[in-house]
Amino acid sequence: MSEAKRLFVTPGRCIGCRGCEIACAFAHPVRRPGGHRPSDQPGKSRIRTFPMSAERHVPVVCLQCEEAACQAVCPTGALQRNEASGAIEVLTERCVRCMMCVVACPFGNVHDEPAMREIVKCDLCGGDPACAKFCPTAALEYAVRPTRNPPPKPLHSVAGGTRGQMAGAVSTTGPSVR
Amino acid sequence: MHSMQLNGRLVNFEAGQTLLEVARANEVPIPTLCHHPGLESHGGCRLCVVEVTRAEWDGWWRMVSACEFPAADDLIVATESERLSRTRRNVVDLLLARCPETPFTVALGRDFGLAKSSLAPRAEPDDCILCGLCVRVCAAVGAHAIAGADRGVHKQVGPPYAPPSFERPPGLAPAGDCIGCLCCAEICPTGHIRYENNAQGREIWGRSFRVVECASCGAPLGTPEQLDHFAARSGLSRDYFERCDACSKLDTARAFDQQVMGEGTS
Repeated sequence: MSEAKRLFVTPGRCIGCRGCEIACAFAHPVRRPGGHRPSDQPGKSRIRTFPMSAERHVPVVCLQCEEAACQAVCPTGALQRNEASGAIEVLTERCVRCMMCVVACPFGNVHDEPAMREIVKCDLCGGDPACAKFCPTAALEYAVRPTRNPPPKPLHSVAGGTRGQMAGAVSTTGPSVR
Repeated sequence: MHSMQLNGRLVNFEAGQTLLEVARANEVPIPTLCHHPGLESHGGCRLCVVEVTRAEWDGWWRMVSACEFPAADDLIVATESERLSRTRRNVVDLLLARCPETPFTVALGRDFGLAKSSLAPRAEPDDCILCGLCVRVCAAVGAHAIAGADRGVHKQVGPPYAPPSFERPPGLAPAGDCIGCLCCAEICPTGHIRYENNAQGREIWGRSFRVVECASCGAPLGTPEQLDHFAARSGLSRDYFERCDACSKLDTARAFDQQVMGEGTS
C-alpha cells in the first residue's frame, strides 16, 4: 500500500503554464446527456492553477482523501475508490446529482457539469494522469514519492511534436540551462 | 464463485447480485424503466421481467422482475421469449394509455412496436407514469417528502396530506418535508415534476424556497433547508456548505500557498 503511486503537487515548481488544465480537459471529453458517446469537445478541467503572484502559482486537484467527505455524504454510493488507481471515482450511473458531494468537499474538488448533467472529479485518468504527463516542471508528479531535483522536461518530449520554440521557452526556467 | 444459466450460457456471479446485475455484467440487454442502479429496486414497471426455472421444476417456470430477483446457483434464466415480449408490450400498452401524449411513453411505444395504445386513453392525462423514481430518490437523499398515495387508477405521487386524487384538487398541499433539492425533478424520466428557479428563489411541490448564495462569489448553492439537511446528515460543519466549489478551490490554493511560503521563509 505504501508503495502505491500518488499524485504529488509541488507548488514551488509550478510555472502557471496551465498545461495541466488543458491536458485534463482533453483527457475528459464531454459525454452527451443520455448516451455515453464521447465527443471532440473538451470537458471541464478537474485541476486548476491559481496565480498567487507573478511568480507563484498553485495547482489544486483532488487529494483523494483517505476519509473523503464526498464519499461519506453520497446517499447512493456513487463515489467509490478505485483500488487499482487509488482515486475516488464517480459512478455516473449510480449518481442522482443531489450535489451533496459538490458542497461537502472542503477543497472544492468536486464539480457539477450542467452540460453533461454529471458530477465530475479527478479520477487520476484511471491510473495514468494526463496532467502529470504534461507538467513540464514536475510540479505535478505521479510517483511513489516526489523527486527532489527534477530535470526539466521539454514539452516536445511529452507532446510528441517538434515545437523547438516552446521547448526552449520552458527549459529556460529549468535548473540545467544557464 | 456461483454460477447459473443465462440464455443457455453458463455465467458466474457473486452472492447478493440480482438477475439484472448479472445480465448487465454479461452484456445481456434487459429493458428497464423504474430501475436506477443507485436506488433500491422497486419492481414497479415490470419491463424487466424474465423467466426463471430449475432443472427439477419439471418444465414449470416463473416470470419475475430481474431487478429484484436474487441470482441463485443452478437457476435457468431466459431474458427473451414470445411470452416475455407479449408481457412487456402489454406493460408499454398500459403506459401509453395512461400517458398518450408524453414524448417518453410515445418513444417507448415505438421501441416496442406500438404506434398508439390499444386501450382507451386516460381522459385527463398527465405525464406521470408512476415509476416511483422520485419517491425513492427522495428517500435516498433522506428527505422523505413525497410518497405514493391512493391505489390503482387513482394512485398519484405527492406530499402527504394532499387531498385524494379523485377530488381533482386545483393544487396540492405544500410539501412540508421537501428540502428543495430538485432530485425528484432531475430523475423524473418524463419531466412530470415541474419546478422553477427564479429571482425570488425556487418553487417545487407547491412550496417556495430561498436560494443560498456562495458567501464569496454569489453563485447559487441550494436552499437553506437543503444545506441544513446535508450538514445534519453528513455530520459535517455547516461551514462546509457555505461556499461554492470554485471558491473552495481558491481557498485551498491560498492555504497551500501560505504553507509553502511559511516553509520557504523558516
